[in-house]
Amino acid sequence: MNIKLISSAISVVMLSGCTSMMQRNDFDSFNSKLDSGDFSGASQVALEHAGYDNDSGETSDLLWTLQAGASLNYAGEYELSTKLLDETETMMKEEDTESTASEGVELIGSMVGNDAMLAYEQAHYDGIMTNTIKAWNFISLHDYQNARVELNRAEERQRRAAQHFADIIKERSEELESEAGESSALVKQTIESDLTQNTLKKAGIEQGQWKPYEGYVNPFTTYSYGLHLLITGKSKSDFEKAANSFKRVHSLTGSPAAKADYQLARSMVKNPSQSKLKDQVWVIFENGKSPVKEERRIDLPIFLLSNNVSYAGIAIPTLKKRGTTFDSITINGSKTSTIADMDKIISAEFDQEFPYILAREITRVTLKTIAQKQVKDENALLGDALAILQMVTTGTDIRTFSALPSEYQATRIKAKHNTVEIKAGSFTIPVELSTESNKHIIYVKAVSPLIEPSVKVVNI
Amino acid sequence: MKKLTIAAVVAAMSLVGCKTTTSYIDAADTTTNVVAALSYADFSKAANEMADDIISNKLMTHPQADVGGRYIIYVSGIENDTMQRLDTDQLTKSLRVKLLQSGKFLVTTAFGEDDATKKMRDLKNSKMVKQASVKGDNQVLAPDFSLSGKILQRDSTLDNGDTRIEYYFQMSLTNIENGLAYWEGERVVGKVADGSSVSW
Repeated sequence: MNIKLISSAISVVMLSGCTSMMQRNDFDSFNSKLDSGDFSGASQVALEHAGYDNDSGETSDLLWTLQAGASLNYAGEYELSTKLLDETETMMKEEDTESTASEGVELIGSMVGNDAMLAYEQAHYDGIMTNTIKAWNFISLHDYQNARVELNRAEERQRRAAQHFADIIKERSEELESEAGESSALVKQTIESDLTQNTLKKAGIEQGQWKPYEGYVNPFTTYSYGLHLLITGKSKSDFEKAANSFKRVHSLTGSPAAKADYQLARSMVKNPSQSKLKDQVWVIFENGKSPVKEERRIDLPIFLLSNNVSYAGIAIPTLKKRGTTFDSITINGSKTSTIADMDKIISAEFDQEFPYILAREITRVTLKTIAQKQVKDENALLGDALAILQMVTTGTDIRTFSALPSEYQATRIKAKHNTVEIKAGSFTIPVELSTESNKHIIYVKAVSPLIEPSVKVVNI
Repeated sequence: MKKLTIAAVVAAMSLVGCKTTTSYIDAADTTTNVVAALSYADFSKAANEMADDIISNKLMTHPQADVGGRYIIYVSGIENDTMQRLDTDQLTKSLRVKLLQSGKFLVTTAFGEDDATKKMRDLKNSKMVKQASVKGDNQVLAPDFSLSGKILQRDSTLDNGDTRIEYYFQMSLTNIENGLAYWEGERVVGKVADGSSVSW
């Protein structure tokens, strides 16, 4: 019995302790490639972490397939990017439809270790960005029909996100109460106590700081939807929908670019003359890097009896912003403006999730501390061993879709010549436009002020 | 040990029992093997109903139908405004087949769809080809009508959390001579699916 207990304890320690550390290493290797603007190298690292099989083309890890899909888009490998992102949609569906029973088993398992052991569950913005990136893959390959399918999917995911956040609160609290069992009152007492709130506040962890865009909308997706309809639209209803999308983006962000596009779309509704779109050049600018999760360890007062408090170490994730690269860039002097703040979108969703992460961690620590004290009463040595076990298994889940930018910006000009000039920080980049096309989209991505931004052109 | 063996055998047998064996189904049956996505059954039903509608429409009868007069239809783009990657030919093919079978219409493939009509005329200067068999100029017929349309999808969440999915098949036949739509049709396919994930 003792051998069994020790061996399973060692397995948990190995699994949970190592999981957190391995996750950190995986992210470091990926982010360092991305930070240096080596998108192709970053995609290779992501493919490796995703368990990519060269022969079958299959992967086994949702998050790293997402990271690979995004970085392949940056590297201009659109077809493989779409193929991998298609796979992530299948994995997301499996995660969505996973039975409550198997989710419960997974959660109970994680109670012995930590959240990093749970299967990666996609954030809503992960799904929305998956379809949005795929839409841009198709736009880059001039496949506008399939781009529309992806944008329709992205819009549907936005609708589902709003619905989800309305429903989830009730569901989650019921799930946690059943997990904690008899200890649920103690967990609740710990979470609600002034001591806990003050400790978290002192550690700089404040909840509810971030407000989502109204309706949990990702305005970059909405802008992409509008732009696609504006450049490919045939009917009045297409231009009407484009105008409504730009109007929404403007109302959410105040972007002058969205306002100008709204006015152009409105004029197309009144008189759909393609000459109005001639020589129009849109610039989409991916600025900086999205926030990442970091592990934070703090000692929290845990209620073991209604009046017996014991301090125990917990590990929780916090968001660390990596920020924008430039305030804005210009094309022939026209300045880009923000059409979507990804930091805001990611932080707001994290804020929604955080109380449940905290409650899970407090439940875990409470259960472990009670067990440890009970064992210690009977066998002091084993009790101490459990205390060490508790310390080692404490860790947090830092997995996040880190390939995204901090924000998206846009602007539009009417080109008079076939060469336009982009200025980004100290870089001046001349961009050639095809004379055979009369509409163009220039896609710029900047990850560091020291590295020349990558520039891709879609001639339509 | 024996108990373990029996349990393993039972588990293996139950697994075998669950496996679906491959079998033929009626692809046009809308009542069994239903999926949330669009299937052949949906396309076939919508196309058949719309074809019947067109065939029975008085405006779509050629004025010289009694002496073999038939309208020529050109199939222009069908827009896919759904959340699924579709080949819109799935809708138009069934429709074209039925219109042709009715004997009231002809469908032209000479403009974009099948370039052989144009290419084979390039054989005019070929020494290999018997020139009398090469099709001449001024013989290809221009279409009278253009068939266009759209497939739309709208999803919404029901009170019980399920997803209600509606597919709209919208089509128009435009008289190319005067630009007027002589026939328009819409068929709506509605489905309810589990709402825990997306419908594609």
